[in-house]
Parts: sequence; C-alpha cells; structure tokens
Amino acid sequence: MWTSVKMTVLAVLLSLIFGTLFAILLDRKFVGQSVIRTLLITPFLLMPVVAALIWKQQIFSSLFGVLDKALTFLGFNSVQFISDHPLGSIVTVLVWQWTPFMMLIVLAGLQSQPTDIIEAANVDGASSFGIFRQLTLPHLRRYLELGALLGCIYIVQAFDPIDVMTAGGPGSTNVPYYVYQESIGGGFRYGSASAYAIVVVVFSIIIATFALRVLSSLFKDEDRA
Amino acid sequence: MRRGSKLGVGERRAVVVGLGVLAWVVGLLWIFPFAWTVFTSFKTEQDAAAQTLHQGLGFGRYSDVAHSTPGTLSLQTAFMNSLVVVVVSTLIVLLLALPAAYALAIRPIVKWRDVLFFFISTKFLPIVASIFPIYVYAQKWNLIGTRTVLIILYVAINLPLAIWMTRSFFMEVPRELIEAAEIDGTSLFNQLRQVILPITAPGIAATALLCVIFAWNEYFYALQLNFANGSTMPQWVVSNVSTRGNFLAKLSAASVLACLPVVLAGWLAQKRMIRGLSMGALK
Amino acid sequence: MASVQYEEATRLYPGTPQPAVNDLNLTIDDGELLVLVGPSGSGKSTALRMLAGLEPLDAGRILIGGKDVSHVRPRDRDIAMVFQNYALYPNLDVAQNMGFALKQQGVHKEERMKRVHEVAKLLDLEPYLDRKPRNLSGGQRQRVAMGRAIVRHPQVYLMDEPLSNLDAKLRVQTRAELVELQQRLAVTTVYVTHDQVEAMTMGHRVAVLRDGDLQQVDAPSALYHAPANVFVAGFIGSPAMNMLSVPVGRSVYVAGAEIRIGKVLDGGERATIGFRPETVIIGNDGPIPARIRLVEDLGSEVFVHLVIDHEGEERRIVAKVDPPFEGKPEENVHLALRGAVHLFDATEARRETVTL
Repeated sequence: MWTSVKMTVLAVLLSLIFGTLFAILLDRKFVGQSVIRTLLITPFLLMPVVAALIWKQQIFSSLFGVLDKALTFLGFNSVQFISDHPLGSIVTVLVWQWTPFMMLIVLAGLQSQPTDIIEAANVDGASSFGIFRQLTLPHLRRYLELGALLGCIYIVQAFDPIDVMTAGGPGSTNVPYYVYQESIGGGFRYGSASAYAIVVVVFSIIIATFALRVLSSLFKDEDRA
Repeated sequence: MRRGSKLGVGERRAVVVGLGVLAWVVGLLWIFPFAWTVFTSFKTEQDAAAQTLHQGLGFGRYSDVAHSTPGTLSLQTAFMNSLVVVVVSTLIVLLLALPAAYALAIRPIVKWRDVLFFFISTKFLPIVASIFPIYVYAQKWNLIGTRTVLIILYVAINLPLAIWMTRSFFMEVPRELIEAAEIDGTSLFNQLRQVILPITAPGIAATALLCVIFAWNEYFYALQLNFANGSTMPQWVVSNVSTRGNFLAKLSAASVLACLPVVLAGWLAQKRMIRGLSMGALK
Repeated sequence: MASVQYEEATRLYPGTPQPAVNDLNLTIDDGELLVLVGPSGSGKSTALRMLAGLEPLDAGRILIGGKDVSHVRPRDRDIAMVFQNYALYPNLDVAQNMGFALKQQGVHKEERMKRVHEVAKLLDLEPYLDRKPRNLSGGQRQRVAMGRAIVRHPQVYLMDEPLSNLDAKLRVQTRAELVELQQRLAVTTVYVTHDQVEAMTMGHRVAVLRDGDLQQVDAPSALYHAPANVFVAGFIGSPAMNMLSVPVGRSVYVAGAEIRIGKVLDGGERATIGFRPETVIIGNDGPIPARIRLVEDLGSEVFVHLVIDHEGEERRIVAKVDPPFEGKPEENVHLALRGAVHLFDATEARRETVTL
C-alpha cells in the first residue's frame, strides 16, 4: 500500500542521510569520541515499543510532552503531533532508531577506505569536499546500498511503532499492520488478510531480486579477493 | 621534552575543535529523548505529568513497577520469561550457526552461494504475514503461552543473521593456520576449538550480542502467542500504560528497567559490535 | 623545478620518546635525484612525507624552491607523489586517474586528455586507458602511478619505494627506465627505498638514515669507498663489509696474524676494522688462517664464506673472487688483505682508510 511505501522509503532515506552525516562526524579523533558514539548507538538498542512509547508520551504528547511544553513556552500553539501527523511521527521514531544502524555501516565504509588514496588525492590538489564527492562517495556506494537494502527489509516490516502510537490510524498503516488487523487482530478476515500477505511476499520478492544483484556483486568481489 | 603535534599540516585547531563540539551537540541531542525518559523515571507522577520538578527525585517509581498487582504481568515473570527465551534461543542459534559457517567458509560446499542466499531470503518475509499459520499450529500443538514457541521462533529469526556473520568471521581466519593444524593431525573438533574459535571469538561475541538484542526486544510474536499475564519484557512495558491516572513516571521507570540489560551489554561490547556489524554485514 | 631544503626538520610522534626524524639538514639541488635510504624505522618515509605535507613538522623548516612550505597543505605545494602501494583511485579508469590532478586544477578536458595521452604514450599505457586499476597487473599499476605524477609537471617528484612491490626482474628493468626518465625530465626527485642496490644505482646522491638521524649524504661511490661510520659501511655494498673488533694499537691482529697498517689507532680500548669482500685474497701463503664454509658461484663472480679464529671466537668472513675457484667446503686456506681497509674508532666513526 502506498502508505507502506512512503513510510519505508522516507525512513530508510532519512536514516541513511543522517547516518552518513553522523558517520562523517565520528570518523575523526576528538575528545570523548567513544562516549558520543555510545550515546548515538543507544536508540538502536532500545526496544522498538519503548522507543515508540518514549516519543509518544514524552515528546509528542500534547498533555505531557516536552516538545509541547517547549513550543508553548516559546509562544507557539500546542500541536497534536501524533493525531495531525501520524506518518511523520512514525517515521521520526523509525529514523531515530535506525540512524545508528546506518551510521555504523557507513562508518565501517569510511574506515575501510585506504588512507593512502586520500593522501594521494590531497597531494593531487583535491579539496576535502572534492575528495568526498569524487572518491569517498563512490567507495561508499556498496555500503549505502547494503544499508538501504537491510533497512528496507527490516523497516517495511515495522509493527511496534504503529501498534503503540497510532494503532493503525488514518494514514499510518503499513502492510504488516494491515495484515495483522485483517487477520488475527480483530478482523478475522483471513481470506483478505492472506491476499494482502501474498502482496507482501510479492513485494519482498521484488526487493529480493534487487537484493540479489547487490548481494551477488558482494559475493563476486569475495570470489575475486 | 617536546611533544609531537597532533594536528595535520595546515589544519586549523579551531576547525578541529569545532567539529568535535558539533559531534557532542549532535550526540547529546540524539540521546535526549531517552535521557529525558530516564530523568522522568525518577520523578513523581505529578511532576512527570506536569513536566515540573517540585517533589524531588527518587527511586520510588522503580519499586512501584517492581511490585505488581495480582492478575497482571509482573516484572519477575516477564524477566524470567525473557531471560530464558533469549538465552536458550541464542545458545541454539550459536550451536547451529557455527557448523553452518564452517561448511560455508572453511570447507565450502559447492552450492555455498545458493545456501547463503536461501538463508538470507528467509528474512524477506515480514513476520506479520506468517503469524496466521504459526498461530494455528501453535494452538494445535498446545504451544500458546509457552516459552518453547518463542524460543523456536527466535531461533528462526536470528539464525540467518548469525550464519551470515559467523561465516564472514570464519573467512577471516588465515588459511595457513588451518592447514598447519591439519598437517599436525588436529581433529576437526580441535581445529575448531583451538584454532578457529580463539581467533573469531570477538566476532562470535558480537553475533551473539546482536541475537540477544533482537530477541530481547521482540514484541510481535511475544504479543500474539502469549497470554496477557505470561509474556516477555516488551509486553510488560506496554502493560504499564494505563488509562487511569498518571502513569508517565512509572512507564519511564519500566522502560528504563526493561531496556537496561541490552543497553548495558551494547555499551560494554560496543567496539566488538561495531566490528561485528560492519564486517558481518559486509562480507 | 626547484631545490628542496630540510632545515633542522624534526618530527616526533605524540607519545613516543624518540623523534622519527631528528634535526634533519639536507639540501637537494634542482634537477637532482636524491635517494633516502635506510632500514625500516630509519625515518626515511617520514622525511618524505614531511616534504609532502602529510606529516607536520615539530621543529625546523622545509623549503621548496626557496619558499617555506612547512605549514602549507599538500595540495598547495606543487608536488607529485608515487606511493608504495600506488594508491590509484579505484573508481576511476587509468585516464581519469592520470588526469585527476589536472581536473582539480581546472584544466579543460581537451587539454587534460592531450597531456594524459602524451604521458600514456611515454609509458606504454595507451591500450589501458579505459581500464580500472583492479584490472591491471602490478607493473601496469606502477606505471599508472608514475604517469599520474609525470602528467603534472610539478616542482618536485616524491617517490616512496615505488619499486618494492614489483617482482625482481621487472624491478631491475623499471629501475633503469626510471633513471632515464628522471634525467630526461630533469625534475628534482626525492626517492625513498630500503634497498641499497637501488640507492647506489639510481641516485646522484644518496642520504643514509638510521633511527631518524642522517648518517651521511654523498655520491654513491663516496659512500662505498669512504663511509662515514660503521653503519654506513655495513649498510652499503653487498655482500656486506667484513667487520672485526680489534684492540687499539700500532698494528692490527686478525686471527692472530699481524696486519701492518702503519697507523696508530687511538681513543679507547677497542676499535673496528672493516674490509670489503673484494679485498680478501685466498691462497696458500697469506697471513690469516681460515676454513672454507660455503662457496657461492654466481657465474661472473664467486663469493666464498669462510671462518677464522679471531681472538678466540669464530668469525665469518666473506671473500669475493673471480672464477674459477677450486676451493671446497672444509678446506683450510690462508687469507691476505689487499686493498682498502677502514679503521673505525670506538664511536664507530671512520678515522682512517689504509690501502694494503
């Protein structure tokens, strides 16, 4: 379903972008590097239900939420985050949790780039940004693809945030949740639920074919190595 | 004594420090939701609801959540359930993954690519789609509400990842070491024990950690296949959301408690996990 | 094209007690090929990287063409570098690799391609211009790395052991090509290697480094015939110079036999004498008794490994003789010294050279 696609794509893209930015920030020596890395990893370690609950109750909630308090403090109107922006709320939680995952993959990619290539580019007159654009980014392509692939696989299945935050409210249901609702979650419409389940499987196979291309290129590299 | 300079040629100290500061800002902002929750868990309910701090901080909420009302899921039950399920399933996963990895890495079978792809492909199907048949069979075999069914399912969920990662760690073992052991007449079992495992121990630890994380945090199967008062930790956390009165501080305490084991484990094994995630996922 | 100067250049890695490069004073003339040679850990690569701007200076200055570049970033120094592992850009093909620096400078595509083609022709790389590095052999990659440097017309070429990853035959061939190329281009070149044969055959001058300190910088023949100290004497020349520790006095006794050298060694209790394999004459009537251990017949020359009893201990001596050589292992022979014998004092500095 369209919502599912939007949700997945947004969450994967955003967490990739943030993950890459954070990885670049972390790829240098500075005071407290491991502390910050520890802090950044933590959201990924939390239970997805907890993450969703945190955002639902502590941040977004118009009754208790911190964001709300801050906004009213600054003079803005109270905003009903979850009710008014269900998709955005869910994507926020997903990005919050999955950015560390992407960051770690990209970090591995950055650290696997041979330093003498960067040095050669420096000697050859390239600027820092030029090096990133012309050499680092192409090198990271494999890692970004892997992150996107794994992210899609896991995020398209996201269930916990939806159950907790919106219970499938308008505009925020993705396929897994819908299947759940239709089957044992109350609908008991097993026929239609199964049909949707098949849709999911077909969807997955399409992704899998794409994945096969990425994976086999990884395998090929390995064979040659 | 002179100290060598740490800056590169032409690097301005201001830029280097500035980026470090930026990293700090980003890190602190990112952790803020969780940090706020921890903070809230020490408040009283009134303070939590009103976002104030009139009544001081304390461990009161933690003891509240540790004592349960009869008829609801208690912390002790949920914790034991989670512990058993996670530990047993992870052990089984490791027991199965090691030989599989050996068969795929050290003495590869001819069809190793196909086998590996098959394992990975099992993760393509959303677990939600599988709940219907699984529920039906679980009911048939009287497994609803047992730890066993969760153990089986968590093994199935984690095994592909474990095989993929363990295999890549095995591939890192220099061939010569294994060949030397072979020439020295070491048995297969001892090769594994004395040569391969010591080298790959960090990677296997990382793999185990990831399995623990995913199993501990898993919500869906635990929710569907258990009774309301006999489930695992995620379910226990959710049960602290109540419709009567203020619950935010208690919920915060419950959340922190529930996540604490995995978070601590992740923090301690951080470096290994990074290595594991990056190498295991990439090779 | 420019001269290069190291003035008291020092690099101390944070947390280490000794500098990697200690107070280096070295001038390299315009158009010269200077070789930095030494064992691993001698600081030669560090010194090169300081010139490149890849390592900062903790003391002293470095000048290129008379300009102080100590705090100038590598990209602004107008230098080109050939790395030991070539450091070719993996996602670019050969032509793009070679044209990379020009592209950074904003040179237009046509001009770039023209210059790349020129150099490709020079290095026999034309058939490979659209290949990626991973599809090239080691020798081809090495040439691309060279081409990438040559295309730039910089002030200085820096080369960090560019031949060490080639197989032996290719190395010898490429060595000669490199020297001819450098002479033709006449660009100042600083060349790092651990191989003293490369150093001797390639450099106008050779600078020998040890543990961060410059031992001697001279033309190869000077290093060979007039080494400044025991280290240089033992490092240059293969097989290595024979060294024996002797007590100070008017004559020197080797294996109990008196070698009249007619000089007085002073300054301490013991000294060292050194003599190269070619000064050892094997016969039946020399003063030094010895026993043959091993004969290495290379066809054009023969190296004979012998042992002598020097001051109660067995010491190995290597002699170089012209073929044919009839001696066999375990035979007893007598040695004489004819040629340059170097005397090193207790501080290991060379004090005298005597010709016997």
